[in-house]
Amino acid sequence: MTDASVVPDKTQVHRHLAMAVIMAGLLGIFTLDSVMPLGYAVWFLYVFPIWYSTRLSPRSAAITLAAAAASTALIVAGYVVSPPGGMSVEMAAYNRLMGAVILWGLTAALLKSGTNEERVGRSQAALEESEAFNRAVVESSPDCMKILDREGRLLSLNSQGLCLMEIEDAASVLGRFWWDLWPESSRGTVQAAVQEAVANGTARFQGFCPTAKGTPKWWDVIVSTVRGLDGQPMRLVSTSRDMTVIKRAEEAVRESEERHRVMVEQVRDYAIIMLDPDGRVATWNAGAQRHTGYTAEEVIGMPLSLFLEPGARETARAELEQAAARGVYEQEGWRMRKDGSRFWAHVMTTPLRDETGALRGFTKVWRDNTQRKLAETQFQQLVEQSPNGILTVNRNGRIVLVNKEGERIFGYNREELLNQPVELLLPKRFRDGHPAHRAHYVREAQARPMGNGAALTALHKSGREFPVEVGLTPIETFQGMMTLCTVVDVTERKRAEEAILAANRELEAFTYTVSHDLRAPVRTMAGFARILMEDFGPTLDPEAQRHVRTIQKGAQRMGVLIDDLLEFSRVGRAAVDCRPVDLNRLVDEVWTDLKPQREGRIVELTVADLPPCLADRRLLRLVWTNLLANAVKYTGQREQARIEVGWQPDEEQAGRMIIRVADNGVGFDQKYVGKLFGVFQRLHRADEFEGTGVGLAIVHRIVTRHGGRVWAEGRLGEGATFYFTLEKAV
Amino acid sequence: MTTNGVEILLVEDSPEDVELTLRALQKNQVTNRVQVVTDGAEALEYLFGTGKYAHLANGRVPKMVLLDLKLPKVDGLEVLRRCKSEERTRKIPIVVLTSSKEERDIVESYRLGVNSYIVKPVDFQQFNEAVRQLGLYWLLLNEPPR
Repeated sequence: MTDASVVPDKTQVHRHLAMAVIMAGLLGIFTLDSVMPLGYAVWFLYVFPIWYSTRLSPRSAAITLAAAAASTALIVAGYVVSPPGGMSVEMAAYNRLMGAVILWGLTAALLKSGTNEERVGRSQAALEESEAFNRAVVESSPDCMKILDREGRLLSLNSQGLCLMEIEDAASVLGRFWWDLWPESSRGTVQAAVQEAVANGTARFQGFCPTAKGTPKWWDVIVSTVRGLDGQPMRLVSTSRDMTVIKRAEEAVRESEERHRVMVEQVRDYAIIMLDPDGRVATWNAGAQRHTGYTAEEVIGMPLSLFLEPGARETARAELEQAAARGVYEQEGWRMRKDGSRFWAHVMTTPLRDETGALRGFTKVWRDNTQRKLAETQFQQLVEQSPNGILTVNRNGRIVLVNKEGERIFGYNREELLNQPVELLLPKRFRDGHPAHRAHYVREAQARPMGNGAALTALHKSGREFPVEVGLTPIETFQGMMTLCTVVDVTERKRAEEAILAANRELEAFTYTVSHDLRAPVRTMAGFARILMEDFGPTLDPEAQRHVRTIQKGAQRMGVLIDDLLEFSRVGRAAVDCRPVDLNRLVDEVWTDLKPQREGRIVELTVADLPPCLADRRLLRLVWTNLLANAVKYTGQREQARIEVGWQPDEEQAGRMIIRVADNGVGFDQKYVGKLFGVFQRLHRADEFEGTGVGLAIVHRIVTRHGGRVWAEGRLGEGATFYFTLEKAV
Repeated sequence: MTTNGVEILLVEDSPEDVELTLRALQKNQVTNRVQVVTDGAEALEYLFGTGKYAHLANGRVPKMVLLDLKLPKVDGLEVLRRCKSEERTRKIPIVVLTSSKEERDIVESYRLGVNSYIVKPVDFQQFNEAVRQLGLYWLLLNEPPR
């Protein structure tokens, strides 16, 4: 009969077998106990479970039929042991009754278990499929899933569970009590959860449990009960989710928040505070205390207007409204300290909103910018009060700043200039070309005069053009590269320069005229006086001859005066071309040139070794000529004339030297020293010493034009010393 | 006027200076014919044979010109420039004889190709000497190029 289970068509086989068994049972009962009416009753009792068993699974049916067969065997045995012939009829009836009762009881019991088995058996195929599905579900779960028996022993574990728990061999944990896998401290919780699940169907807890390899992990565990058909808890399923990452993140957030709080509280350079939506102070940090002098206890709960000047308090509300509307609001302004003093604050207000967008409050960050504000104010005043016009022009050529003098020079007021193209200030004919110059400047930005030295013309608001000088300096600002233009109105200076140039031109024309025209009549006088003497000399009486000679002398002197004066004028106008000059050679040359003047005299010249100097040789030669000629002239009465030339470093001006020319001539009275270097100033009469009084004036002018000084010392009758300074050649 | 060999054109507006110059030339045996003109315009007419000197258009040019710088109408430097830029007159030695010691006059004259520059001294003796050397050099020693 057990073979029936392997026959494919279970139901068919089962039916045939069942029929066969029924027939066997009928045969046995009717053959053996047909005389007994009780046999009918047993048959009925017996046939019912037999019939019922046909609806069971082969396994259940087999057990039932086996039980029926055993009963039959018992009844048959009872008959054999107590044959009706040898025993009383009552005894035999009793035996059969007993056999029937046993049969009934067994069958009823089997019927009961058979009912359960039947349910399972009928959906065997579906069940297998469903189990495979459930296994797949369990296996694919990202969590650690365990199946426990109702006592809490671990029956199975999905592979994700092995992985999460870092268990290499599942056998090492299967069969163990679940809580034994947990650390000592958590076991109570786990046991309680199991009990709760058994009682209520489900339980949940979180706990810490390291893996088999000791990796610390946090778990979120749900335990549920799986009930059997009888409604009793059969199995427990636990789903443990690895919470470690989330837990760590939460901890990190908490730590970070804590750090932030501590940091904000300790920031000293900035006041960082929070306001509630009504603008009352909610938090306060060290910076805020430092800036305002208020402690947290004093201000928390106070309105923002506490820090504003009395006149500006209503702006506090507006400020918050702006922030709420714009998202962030930055501004600068004066704020009040507790002691009533002010500080210049840069304030940034940010609204705080929750996930729904509802306003939860504001953060405010203040910085005390008083020092910068003062510096700025000073800078502004500096710019504003500058005697030069100052303009700042941005990359696009727009004016972004102009000072008072700038307004005055161009005749515009500030509003008319700001944000205007700088070309507005140029005469129209230059405007088109100017942007290209600007672009070029921006590319090669460096401080330099505008126009590279060319004369510049600007345009006044009135349309008047005027000359300017403009300096350009690139400046880096937070608004980008700007060009700082310094403008000087040079109208007045140009006018003065032109006046000087005109005066110079006039003077030149004058000297030119003098040079040509003044000499001509003098020459005529001298020339014709000579002709008179040559042609009529013999016929003139001596007195007339003397007069003619006086005329000649006068004319000659006039000629010399004119020449000296022109020379003096030329020295003043000539360009000074400085080059290294070998003074020893120059003195030697001049001394040689003076040979005619010292003819027939003994004049001793001592010259120290002079260092080379930096000077215009042609002009310097005139200095030496005049000084040495003077020395020769004024020593004329000495039998032993001595001239000494020497030098020493100039202690007043580094890099220069003092040259001295000393003689033992007639000297001069020191009190007239002031007249010595004036034009046509003489300390001697013409009949004593010839001269026009221009020589020393020329010396003075040349030395002065070389940046040097010239002076003299003298004593009447004891000689004179002339000093002048020259730049040493390196 | 175009004959008689060597000729000197004296351009000088001052009659006194003309007299002194002529006397100096005479004293130094420079006996060539001297033509005197008293302004720059007349000097140019004479040299180029124009205006009242049109009859000289095809004639010979002077052997030497003594030229003052400060002259009425056309100044000496302009006369010098014109002479030195025209083929007809380029080879005539021109001596500037002037009162001016101004450097710009001297520099400009040499730039324009003057042959000599003499400052008239106040002293007649010196003037004599200058004229003597001048005559010797330009009229006797220095043969003009052909």
